[in-house]
Amino acid sequence: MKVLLIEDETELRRSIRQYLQDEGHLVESANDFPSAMEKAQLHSYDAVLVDITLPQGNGLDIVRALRKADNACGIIIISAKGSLDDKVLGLDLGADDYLPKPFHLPELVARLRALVRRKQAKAQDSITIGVLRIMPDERLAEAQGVHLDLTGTEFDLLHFLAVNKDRVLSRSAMLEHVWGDLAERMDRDDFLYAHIKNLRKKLAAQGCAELIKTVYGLGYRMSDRA
Amino acid sequence: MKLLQRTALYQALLALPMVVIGTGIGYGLVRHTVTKAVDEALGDHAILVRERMRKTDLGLEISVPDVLVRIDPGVITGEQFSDTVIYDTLQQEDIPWRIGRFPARQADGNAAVLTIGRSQLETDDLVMGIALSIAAVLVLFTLCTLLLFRWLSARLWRPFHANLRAMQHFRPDALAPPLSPSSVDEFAGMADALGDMMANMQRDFTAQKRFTEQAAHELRTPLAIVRGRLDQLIQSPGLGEREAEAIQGMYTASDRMGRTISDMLMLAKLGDGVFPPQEVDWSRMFREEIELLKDPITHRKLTVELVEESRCRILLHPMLAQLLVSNMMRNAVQHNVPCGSISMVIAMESITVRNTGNTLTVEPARLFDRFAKGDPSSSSPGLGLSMVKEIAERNGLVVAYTAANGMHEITVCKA
Repeated sequence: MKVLLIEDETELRRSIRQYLQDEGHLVESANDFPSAMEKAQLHSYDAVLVDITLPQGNGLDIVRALRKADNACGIIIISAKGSLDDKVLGLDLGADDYLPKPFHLPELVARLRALVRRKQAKAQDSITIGVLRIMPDERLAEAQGVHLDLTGTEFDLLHFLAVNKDRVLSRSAMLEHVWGDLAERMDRDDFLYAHIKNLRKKLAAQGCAELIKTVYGLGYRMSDRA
Repeated sequence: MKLLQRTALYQALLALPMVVIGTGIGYGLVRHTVTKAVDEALGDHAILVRERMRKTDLGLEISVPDVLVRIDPGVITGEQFSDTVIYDTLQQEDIPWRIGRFPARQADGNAAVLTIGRSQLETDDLVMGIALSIAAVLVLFTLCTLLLFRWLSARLWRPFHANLRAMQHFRPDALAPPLSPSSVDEFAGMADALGDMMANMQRDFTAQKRFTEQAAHELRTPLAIVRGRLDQLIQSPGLGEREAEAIQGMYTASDRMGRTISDMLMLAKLGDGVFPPQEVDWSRMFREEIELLKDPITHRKLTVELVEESRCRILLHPMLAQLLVSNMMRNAVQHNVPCGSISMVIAMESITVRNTGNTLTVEPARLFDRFAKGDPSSSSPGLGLSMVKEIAERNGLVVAYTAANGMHEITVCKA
């Protein structure tokens, strides 16, 4: 996937870029308004990640310009302002998603995946990992062709692990993905652990419990490799 | 009561005794003048009668209608006047008379008393008529003055009322309402002062808002960098136990910082935001929050009960209501014990959340303070309940906390 990353903060730009490149995406980046505008108008991208606060301009103007030119690329606003007005305005202008900083990179990957899936609406919208198949639109999962009876939370966790295949996901990223603002506010004890345990039990019934690997002290990873 | 009504009332209260006293004085003066004139007329009449007495022995009572002349033997010194009432057989009613008694001498030289009287029927009518006219003029004059004054006051106070309306609709986040100019020095001065105050408030509000936004940006960006770098770092192969522990520690710290930042920014926003109160469906708010908290509630095996005694009439902006409910509920879940319970009661003028929990380690009075926590090592910044208090206080509500037998209860009610 070809992604344009518009972010003025060098360190953040670098880490997002590296992470997405490791995912196999082609990432171009811009660090100020004029160069971002130029790139956005000259080239075509599958997705544009745009920060609102930029040197010499406002990221929302780029969203406006892209949509005015009937550019169908997916747009995700990444902003640290976190004001509801900006979110509403951004989505009104035609952005597809709004991700407030500070976010976890696996969350960004999941949002990008969902965005592209929505945009392309191709038949290839299921995720297959070994014997596991996940159909995000129907919110269904099957292993060895057998339907897995999952709760909403379990499905969310499985899906999040699957779109970030072969990546280590921190507990903090997983909690925030599933429980959002709630995870931020609660001492979440180990209810994540309880959900993963149940999920593994259900996968084990189809002989694929080893798909979810515990990375000691850090979190979890989904992989069909040993 | 409006200023105009109040002034009119005071003026009317002041005018009433003046009209009464004025009419009284007028009546007294007229009465006095008329009586004096009548007495003079009686005196003149007496001179005429005395004149005739000297020539002839009258010795009889001369009585024409409305006039009485009688001569009695006797002695008096000086003239005497008095009022009396005589029953008139013709008209069958009491009629007031003015009677004058004068010393006289009969033709034979004997002293006599000359009594001359006059019916006062017509004079009384006259006096009453004049008094009524005076009263009427006074009342009319007072009424005219009152109305004129009222009209003038309304005109004079017009800029004041216009500015008052403007102030009532003033919001620091919206365009300042225009103030009416006035040629009255006091009003003009007040409009100037109000204009300055509004401009200052708007400037402060904008500055505060911008500061909050910038602070949010400056705090969240480095945190985003830390998180991004950590997310990358954990992908490295061959991380040992010690590294993993260190990384986990950084995650925990960055989560905690993230939480503190968002709570602090929310508190700042509560401080500089404008949130007009509206009607709230409290029952729905609670049901939604229970749904959101489903996971931790199931995990801790908590029993949840929601009772709506009646429709709650507490008004609040929807965002604040949601924040209030979610902070009360999260507090109840967070500080609960395994297999405990939470019950929520929605009453007409209050909402209550009651939960089981361990004994408080912080003083109840400090519970709603910022950064007050039950467990000092907890990663929660302890801003949840201070947010509840902040929202309540800014909207004329009262928060109360009570604890007994392992039950904690927080109530928000109308002041």
